[in-house]
Amino acid sequence: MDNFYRDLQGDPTQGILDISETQEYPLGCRFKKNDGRVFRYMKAGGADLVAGDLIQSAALGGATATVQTDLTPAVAAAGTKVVTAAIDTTEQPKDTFKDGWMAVTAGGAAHAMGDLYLIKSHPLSATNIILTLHEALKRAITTTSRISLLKHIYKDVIQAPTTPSGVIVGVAPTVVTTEYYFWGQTWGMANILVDADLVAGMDVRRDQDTAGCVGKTATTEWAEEVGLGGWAAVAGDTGFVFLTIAP
Amino acid sequence: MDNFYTDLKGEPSQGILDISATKQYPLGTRYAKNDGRVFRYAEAGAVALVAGNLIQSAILNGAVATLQADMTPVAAAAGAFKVSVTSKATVQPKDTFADGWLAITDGDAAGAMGDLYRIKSHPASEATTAGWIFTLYEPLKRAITTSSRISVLKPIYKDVIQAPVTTATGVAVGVCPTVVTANYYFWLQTWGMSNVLVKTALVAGQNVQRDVLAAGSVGKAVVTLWAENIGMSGWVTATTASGFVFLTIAP
Repeated sequence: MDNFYRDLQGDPTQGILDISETQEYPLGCRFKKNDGRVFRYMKAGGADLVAGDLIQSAALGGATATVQTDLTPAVAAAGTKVVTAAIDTTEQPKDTFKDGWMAVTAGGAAHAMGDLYLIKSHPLSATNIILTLHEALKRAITTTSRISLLKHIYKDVIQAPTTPSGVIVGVAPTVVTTEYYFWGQTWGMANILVDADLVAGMDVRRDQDTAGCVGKTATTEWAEEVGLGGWAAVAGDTGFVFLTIAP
Repeated sequence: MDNFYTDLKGEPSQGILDISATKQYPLGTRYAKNDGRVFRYAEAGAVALVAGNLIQSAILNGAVATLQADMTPVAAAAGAFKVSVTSKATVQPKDTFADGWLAITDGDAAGAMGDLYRIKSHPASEATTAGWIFTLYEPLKRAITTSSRISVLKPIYKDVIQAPVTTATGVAVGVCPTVVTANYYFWLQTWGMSNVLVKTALVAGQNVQRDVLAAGSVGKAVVTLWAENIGMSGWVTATTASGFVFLTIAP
């Protein structure tokens, strides 16, 4: 099954509070329920997810020990769909980054900095990673270029940790078993774990004081906004939040 | 070709990394790619654009020397399609503001303050001269009086520019996914995973904002405290390199 995003037509056979061991829809598939809530199809990572917890994407690069950023590539001409780069120390299993992203993040404009491509596949990578892209390079890559890799943001999602390591992608609407597929809520009325008290009329943000929670404290001043608070909510409980992560 | 926003069905004949000297779609046309990215069709201004740069709309009112804001109108009755104002000093070419916006920005409720209309056309203006006439797509809902004040704005996807250093002069509209020649048409990215120039390093778990410390960049610094949020950062990025940002400008 590919993981190209699409809107689900009709109601899903896997309900919004159901989880599945097998993938029923493309990751990122959007289901807009007729009560204003919007969901994306996601896969849980290596730990169970808690109902009402804020969820983030897998850590950049797909490996905790050594993130796959700032990689040095081999020269690749415009028009090619294959890019080879020396990986960091952590071996990457086959297709870890399938349907994820390759960004040229350094090297200046003459070396394609600023370009972004979707990854189609790659083999197991011990020293070099050979990336096949969905689309051909628009500009040539040189050995001065630097490459960063990112997993599909709805693949292997985790409870938002106290030290953020990915981007917020939604809220778990139910308990999710490790590596199961589920509908992560991304928009509309939600019931979320609150660490710092909320009152009406506030932005709601990721709160790093506790894993999986939102709040409003000094530590959240720079944190990602995930919704709007129209109601008072008590710290340590869950409460109403109008989610605004992805419509 | 009009510039009414529409959703593009199917794949565009002008790809997301292609640029065109001729306009292929209405400005503002939305193309949602099946990898989660969303683009709007835009026209570059008079300067070439850099891949990975944050892009803003043309300067408010389309003139640097004298903004076309706070203009005094002739009284116009509800139902009229035409609004006549006294222009400001900088001469404006014909239809500079076509498909843009006319706002009544002063004059209180009795002078229709708060109303907004889309501009269909206008002739060239003369410097500081009465009788510059805007034709609207829809008639005035409330009468305009000589106490009203008028501001006009280009379409936000027309003549877009690199987000300038030091002082922002328009609204952030997206990120340039490729190199764009001056005055060419291109697909401007507005949502989803992007690769953006970073001035002030980002860490995971932060809002990402326009950073006026360097042109075309985003970041997270004291100067960005009140700046526009343009996305979310899930990853550590280096200063002056580009990095992954999940854009949240327009879905």
